[in-house]
Amino acid sequence: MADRIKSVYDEVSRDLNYIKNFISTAPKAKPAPNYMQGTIIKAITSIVYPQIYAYLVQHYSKEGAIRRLRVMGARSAKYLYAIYPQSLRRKKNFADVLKEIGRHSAEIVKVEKVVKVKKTVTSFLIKKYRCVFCTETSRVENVPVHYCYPSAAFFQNYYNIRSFYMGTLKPRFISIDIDKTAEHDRDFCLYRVEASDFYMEG
Amino acid sequence: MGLFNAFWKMLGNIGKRVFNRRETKTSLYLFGAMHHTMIDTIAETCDGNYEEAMDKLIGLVAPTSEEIIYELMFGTAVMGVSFKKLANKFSNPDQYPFLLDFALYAIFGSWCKKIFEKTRYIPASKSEENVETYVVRLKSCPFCYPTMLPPEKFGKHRFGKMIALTIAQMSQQIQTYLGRDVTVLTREVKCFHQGDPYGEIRIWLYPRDQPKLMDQNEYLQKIK
Repeated sequence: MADRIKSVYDEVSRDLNYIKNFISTAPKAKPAPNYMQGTIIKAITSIVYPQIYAYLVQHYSKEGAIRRLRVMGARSAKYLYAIYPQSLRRKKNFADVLKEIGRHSAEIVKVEKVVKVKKTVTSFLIKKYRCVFCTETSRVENVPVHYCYPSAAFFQNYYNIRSFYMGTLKPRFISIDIDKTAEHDRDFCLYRVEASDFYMEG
Repeated sequence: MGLFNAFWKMLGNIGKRVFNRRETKTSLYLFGAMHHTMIDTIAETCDGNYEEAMDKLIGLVAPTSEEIIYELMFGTAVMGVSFKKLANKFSNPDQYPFLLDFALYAIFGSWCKKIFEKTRYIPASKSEENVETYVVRLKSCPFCYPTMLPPEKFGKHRFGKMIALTIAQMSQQIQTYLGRDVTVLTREVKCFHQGDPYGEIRIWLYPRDQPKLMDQNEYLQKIK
């Protein structure tokens, strides 16, 4: 567990560094301040991802494809904070930070079965309806790689970056694995989350 | 005729709003971030060569995006009026900007106005490329903004290639539906990422029986 925390810590530190030093190479493209409310229809997101997923699972081992899909999701969180750093400073409890993601992605996020040991959250489940990746795409059949690894990694990194930045959020760090993914529009994805309050001094 | 068109325009303007409102939507910020990270992911499979990655990405995406865009445009109807019916009412070349702006609004909703200016039509007689040309100008770009990569990394590609591709495919399908025998080509001739003060996508309609006209288009040589 300590090794896992260390690697997440290093990754999140790098991402925070990127966010703090972010200077766009297209500064004149800067969206309006209230661009946060800008939207695009979800069906358009299904144009690119299925092809990338199919390419990765066909050209790499299962582990290699999962690693790349996870990196993809984690990076999206980094870019999102880089262009919208104001959201880093929002004070919220852990469940609300995760639900906040639903505002970006139009997913319905529920936090369930929170397990606490001595008042410290150690694990919980994320139940997610209308997954960006699973419910809007034409799937590649019979591939043993969950479709929404990028989403799980996005949730994980979105939370951890915020937590490391704020320093007051509890639990301090989360790690997400996928239990199941949605099979149809009314189905849900289920993520199993391990949490820790372990703090590592930089 | 004018009153007749005004009626269909009004119906179209209501329809695009209803369509956009009933669709599930994600934030532009998230989409911009995902767009960047997908390019990164493919670039990593090309040893960090972003130009090659863009080629590969377009090769992967183009065939299926055509299907999805076709389904989105021609497979849906709002208040009993299909896009096909609307397209038939605005089939003249100078009326195409209305259809394109309609489609962009359906995708981006009211935020469309903060991203795109109204599409302009340049008739072949006045176009530098001697073919019917449409100009879509961007006032801001949620796709370019998230990047810290230098534009040189993309070689002949522009960062917003995916928008240009989507617009090309929409235009091709509409023109084909209207029975016009043309090849639609688009290029992002101005790009914020390249330091330009605005973005600009040009759409050219090349008659299929005059492919040599393409050789006169300098943008096609300079930009992928």
